[in-house]
Amino acid sequence: MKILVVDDSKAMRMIVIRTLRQSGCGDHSITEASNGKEAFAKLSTEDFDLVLCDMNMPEMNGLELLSALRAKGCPVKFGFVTSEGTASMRQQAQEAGASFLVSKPFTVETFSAAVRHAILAA
Amino acid sequence: MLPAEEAIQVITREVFSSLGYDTSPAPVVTHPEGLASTVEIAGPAAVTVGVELPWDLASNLAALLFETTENPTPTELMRDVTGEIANMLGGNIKGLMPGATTLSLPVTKSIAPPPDEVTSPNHMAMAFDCELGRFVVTVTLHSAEETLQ
Repeated sequence: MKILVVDDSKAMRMIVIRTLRQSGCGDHSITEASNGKEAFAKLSTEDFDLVLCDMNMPEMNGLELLSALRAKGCPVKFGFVTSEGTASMRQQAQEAGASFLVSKPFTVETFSAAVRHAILAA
Repeated sequence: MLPAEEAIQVITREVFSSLGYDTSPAPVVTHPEGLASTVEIAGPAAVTVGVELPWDLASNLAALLFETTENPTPTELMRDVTGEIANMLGGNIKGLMPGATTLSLPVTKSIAPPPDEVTSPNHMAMAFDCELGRFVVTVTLHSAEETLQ
């Protein structure tokens, strides 16, 4: 499985990748992007099975990325990993086509529960 | 109205716990020389959320998170970690604020000399200890009409 981790913070990308490994998902192929624009470019040339994406980023934010992907018919499974985990943001994420939203900060358990479910369903 | 101090303590504890560190409130707020990062929450109540890390703490935190032994720790890595802490604090405090709100990207800068303490009912500064050192979290409430700096 190919996973794209999108976050403008390199520290958070490392934390997400480390948590993926701790969740037993370390054997997947993981690629990084530092904002929505860069992720969109990678997704335009390469197939991924899952995108784990921050919400608040420069250039193109997570919601804009997801909307752009869906607008061009890209069905990739998409989950947000964001510090903005309010009910309103969850609704926005779901309406835009996200499969799940993990709130930052997260534990290995909460992250694992959301991501493993998405991986199994992919 | 500022969020409750207890809520900020819980959020701060959870943010640092996710980085692998336990924190406890410290009795004395001493603004450090080091790195400060702030995010702005815009909405019916405009709020600035900040974190101030002394150099040693920012350096150790970045070195451990990035698993680097480079000495000195690259400033870019320290700024990244400090900004992400502000982002997580701000995103969670945003959830405590009324109405529709938006969160800015973090702005991170070095602080030297340390800032003076602000005394205002609309400003909260809390110190915390973790095993790597002491840091400060600030929350400032602005009027909705006030332009944020």
